[in-house]
Amino acid sequence: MTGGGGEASAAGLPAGGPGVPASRRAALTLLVLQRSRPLTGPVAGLAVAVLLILLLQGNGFTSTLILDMLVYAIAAMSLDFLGGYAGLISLGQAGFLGVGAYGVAIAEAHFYSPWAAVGIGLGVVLALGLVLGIVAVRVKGISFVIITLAMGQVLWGLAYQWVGLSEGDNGISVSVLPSIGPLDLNNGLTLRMTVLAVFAVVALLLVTFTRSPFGLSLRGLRSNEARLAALGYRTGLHRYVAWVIAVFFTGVAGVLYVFVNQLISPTTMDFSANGLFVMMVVLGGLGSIWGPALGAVVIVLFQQELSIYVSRWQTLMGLTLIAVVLLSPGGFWGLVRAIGRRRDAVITRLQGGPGDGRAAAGRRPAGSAPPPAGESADGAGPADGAGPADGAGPADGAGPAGEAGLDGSPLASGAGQPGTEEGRAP
Amino acid sequence: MTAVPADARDGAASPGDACPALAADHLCRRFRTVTAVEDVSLRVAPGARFGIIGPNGAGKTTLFNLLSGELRPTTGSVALFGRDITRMRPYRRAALGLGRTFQITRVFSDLTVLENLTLALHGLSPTKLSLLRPWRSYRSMTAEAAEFAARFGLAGRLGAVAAELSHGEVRELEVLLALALKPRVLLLDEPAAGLSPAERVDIQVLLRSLPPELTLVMIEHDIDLLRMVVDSAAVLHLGALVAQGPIREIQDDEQVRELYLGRAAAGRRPAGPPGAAPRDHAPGTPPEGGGGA
Amino acid sequence: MPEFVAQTLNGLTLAGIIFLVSSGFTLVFGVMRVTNLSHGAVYLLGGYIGYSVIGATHNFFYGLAAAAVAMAVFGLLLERTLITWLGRSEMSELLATLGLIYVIDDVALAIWGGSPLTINLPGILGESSTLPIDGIVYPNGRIFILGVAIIVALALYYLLRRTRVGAIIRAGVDDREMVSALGINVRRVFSLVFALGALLAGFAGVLGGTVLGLYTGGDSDILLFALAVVIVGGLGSYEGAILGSIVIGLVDNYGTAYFPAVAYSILFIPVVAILLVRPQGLFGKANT
Repeated sequence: MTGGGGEASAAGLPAGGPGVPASRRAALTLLVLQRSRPLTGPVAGLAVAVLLILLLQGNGFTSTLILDMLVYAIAAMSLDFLGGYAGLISLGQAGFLGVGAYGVAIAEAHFYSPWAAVGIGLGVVLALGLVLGIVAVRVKGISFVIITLAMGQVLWGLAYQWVGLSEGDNGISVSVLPSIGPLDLNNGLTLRMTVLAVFAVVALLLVTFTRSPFGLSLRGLRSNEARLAALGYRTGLHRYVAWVIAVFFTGVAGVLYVFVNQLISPTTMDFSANGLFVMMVVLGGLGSIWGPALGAVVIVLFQQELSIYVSRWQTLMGLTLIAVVLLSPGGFWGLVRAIGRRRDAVITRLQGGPGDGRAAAGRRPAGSAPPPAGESADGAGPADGAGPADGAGPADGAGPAGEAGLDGSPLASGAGQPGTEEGRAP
Repeated sequence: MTAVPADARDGAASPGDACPALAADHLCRRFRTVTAVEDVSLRVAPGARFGIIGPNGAGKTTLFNLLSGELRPTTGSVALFGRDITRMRPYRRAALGLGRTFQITRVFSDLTVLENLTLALHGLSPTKLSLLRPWRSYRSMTAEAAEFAARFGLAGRLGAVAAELSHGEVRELEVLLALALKPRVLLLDEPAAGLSPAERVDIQVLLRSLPPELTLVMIEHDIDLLRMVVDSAAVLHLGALVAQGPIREIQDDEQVRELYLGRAAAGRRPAGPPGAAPRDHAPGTPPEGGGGA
Repeated sequence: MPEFVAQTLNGLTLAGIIFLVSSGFTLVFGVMRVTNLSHGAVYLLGGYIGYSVIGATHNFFYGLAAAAVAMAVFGLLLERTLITWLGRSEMSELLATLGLIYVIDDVALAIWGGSPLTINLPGILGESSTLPIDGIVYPNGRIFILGVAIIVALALYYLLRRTRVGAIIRAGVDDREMVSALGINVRRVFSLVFALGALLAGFAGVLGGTVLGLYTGGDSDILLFALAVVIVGGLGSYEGAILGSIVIGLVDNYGTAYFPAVAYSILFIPVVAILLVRPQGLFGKANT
């Protein structure tokens, strides 16, 4: 699929030859599209931010819903960082969210101050991530999924059975939230704004990471780990770092969770919860960071809204996941990207169409120099340049063999022999 | 076994030489019941252009895997500029100056050419672990990548996803990735496999334009290409070295010709499968080596 | 001492059930490279179906048969539709079967409700006998389960090692492309293996329903066991499934009996140990 490939016909505007738009109208359209390309992302982001701030003013059901979405989104985005970029899909995220939450709750139950409790919660999650990471990075692909599933289940089991520490099924409630100076999280509005702020910070951090050389290395990891190793990368180390980052941010989500809900119980960490996070990522679009945030929105809506009207909403959720995997593996964000590609195609067409060799060869619109470092080639929203499915593969709706989201990696057909990196040179 | 006397001849180093660029000593690799590489010893002088030929299944790629670290030898050792690297993993060998390409191209197919090259350029730099600066902002690196691509004919393709490239371009990219690390020794595994005659010329030009200080070891079936690029060669058959010496001699060697052309003369038939004749080498022949993997 | 023997027997019984579930899982993976996460749900569904059939017919063995057959059919249908549509992408198959769990669980919830159910063993199986070892009184039902598991294990072993079909299956585990290149109808082998796996799981569900019970979340529990087994034993290895099941069954049972607070996580010890020492599992193949 090339830049000039999309035959989006702009109502029969004639091409006027290489580099020359045919009419004033065409020229204007071209100008608008070109100018708007770098702006769509930030503008959309700003609009969403403003919307959220407004919605979070009140204390009602909508606010609660949004808070849930934000907290889960953090965990989902972290999972995407690990799964969509490094290719390590973890079925144990809920476990780490729980650890963060329980860490805070148990600390407070033992009379630590709220801030200390936050420190302890995050500390425990980090320590656990560092230790478990050593084991987790020894396997890849399907084995990794299985290991993380086991981890998640074991953590849940601990929460459930170590009654002395976790109060078992009853869960632990948290009543006192941290406050420092003017920032008193016991105040509802302050708490809500803080959650939004943390979400924004984590999201931007993760997006920044994906655009860094490290992020590029993760994509290389997912694409062809052996090659990366031959290029001098210590792939195990890279996986480990990605793991620790993902686990830590999920722990952050856990801390926020327990403050928002003022309660943590084992249910938050059970198998179903783990599956939900993976669902958020797949629905939203593996490898896009923002996509899974959207996925979190959808899943929370399923859970909270749909469940009111449809008693078999879980069946629906499962079927939706199956449908997405079958029909649109790039998820939601895959659709957004496809729109972006359409726009690029229109731009190319208006600039003179496939007659211009450069447009046919690359994905850059003809007539523009290769983008200066800093601007990205693909125009879909804030994720430009970030995702591995950066225009790769066929457009939206491609079958399972299409989008790089699920298949463009050693995880795909036949190559996914479980095993280890270390075991490569017996 | 045609033992070519190991005196300094067109790049094949002799034991008396100062430090060979790459040396293999009695390398052996067994997989349960199969011996893929048997007692192979090589010395390649710095700056040499060395070829490795042999029929399919002769163990050439396995040998490369042993040299570059994808596999550990059952016995024997490998040394790079005198330094024992037998126990080192691929990334460490890369850091020491050993580069390699793969017979089944291993480029990052879902990344763009620019991204591929950038990854390679960051490979030996601590910046690869950098988290906060966008990789595109490393202007010197991206410029270098662009210049690299331009020098080797991929200028207009920087934005193309590797999966979109033609086969010839992919193989070029494969070589470029290895070159980006500025290796001192480069192992090329069948760089011309599956290429059309025109593309072969391109590859040949690329290979001949490589800096003379770079030591080159190349597996190839295409005898013509070898002749243009390589000074001396070793012949592998069923995992063992059967001949070694200047390329002309190898070409004229009876035993080698038998191996490739499978002469039907009774008693002179080679033991193993004769393999494809070099000129008839069909593109896309399935790979050998790797112990049946 | 008698206590310990009883616990060991309990552990072996558990191992038997786990073996029935994990052997199917590992064979399906070995031959088809499919990670069927819904395998645990199949177990539970089989148990529920058996429960209903037993309730209707008052015959335990009808229930066993019904569960086995129903799940075999289900497995066959699943393989012919979803798995086939997904082609050869392993991650897609894993994710799709994950979604399937929610569907099966919800349907089961709708039909059988959320309260735990137990299947009662008929007649003599419901009683206990005195064993010649230390004079322990031990439930016959558990001995029955252990016996059944052993018989099935032997039968499977015979199937795999002594029959042509078994040879094809084992060859498929080793090299799928080769098998198809030999002109063997790989599709049929896939369907057979998948259906067999589901059959075993459903069958196990009824047996498990007697000693473990049928409850929401029972599928996750058994899935976790099966996964632990394949990590320890090696993905794709039948012998690994046997050995792994014994290890996991015993470890879990001893854990629950002697260290109840952390019983769930005791399971992790053999798993972590294997990952550190031999990541591909006891009988798994290292990546060359």
